[in-house]
Amino acid sequence: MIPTPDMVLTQLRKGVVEYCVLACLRTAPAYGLELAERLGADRTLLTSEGTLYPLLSRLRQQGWVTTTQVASAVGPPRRYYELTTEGRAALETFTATWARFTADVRTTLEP
Amino acid sequence: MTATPFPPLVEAYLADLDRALSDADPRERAETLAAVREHAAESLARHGTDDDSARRVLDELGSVDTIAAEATPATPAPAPRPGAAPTPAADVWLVVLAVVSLGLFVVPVVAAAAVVWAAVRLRSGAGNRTLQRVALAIGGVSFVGAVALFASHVLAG
Repeated sequence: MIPTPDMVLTQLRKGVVEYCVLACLRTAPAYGLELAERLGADRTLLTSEGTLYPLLSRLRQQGWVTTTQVASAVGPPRRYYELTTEGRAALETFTATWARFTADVRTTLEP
Repeated sequence: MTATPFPPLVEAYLADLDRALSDADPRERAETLAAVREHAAESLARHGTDDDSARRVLDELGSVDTIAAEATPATPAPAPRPGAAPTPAADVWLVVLAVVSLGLFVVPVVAAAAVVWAAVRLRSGAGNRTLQRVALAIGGVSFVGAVALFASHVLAG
């Protein structure tokens, strides 16, 4: 069977997208819609914006992010996600490993 | 959470999402639902609450099944297995009685009692059947031994 691009993407997202969420929070806390728009813009990292939320829940339960409810001047209150020290350390490990991984993949895929 | 009511389309979507997440981890289900609700409220506040805007917001969120597919399944409760049932004390005593009857095989009443009790327990279908069979076998051997001993005495006499 020849896989479709969607099937390949589904496999590639596993174990990667959660670190992309952490990376989005590296410089400042962000709220759900903000993260969803950033990560879901071209539907490569997220199948759809809603798929971000089970992932965020797991990151929170894992202790990699914390949430704070903040009142918004323009609309309903927002749940802000913030990186914890542990989450930051996990992101650093992933970033270093990812660099090695992608370098090897690139070299291998090159004709 | 917002005080502004959602358009019926969005309310129906949230109800569908809740149903789609029924097999998910309960905490993840509650958090996902609350976060998607907030996402929808924020998005509708930006784009308006007419049907077209609602459709657009829901389209960006994606199908409820796609979201549910990303959720962690709830940890299943350990299913009670018949083999895992605790052994009733009665079956342990039954084996003890059968073993004792081996030592007291000159008094076959004990062996006969073990055999009868084991047969009754086996027929009831309850408890540990392996222990019941073991007790039946030991009791049987003890009883047959006693009968054989009696017979040899009679023949020798």
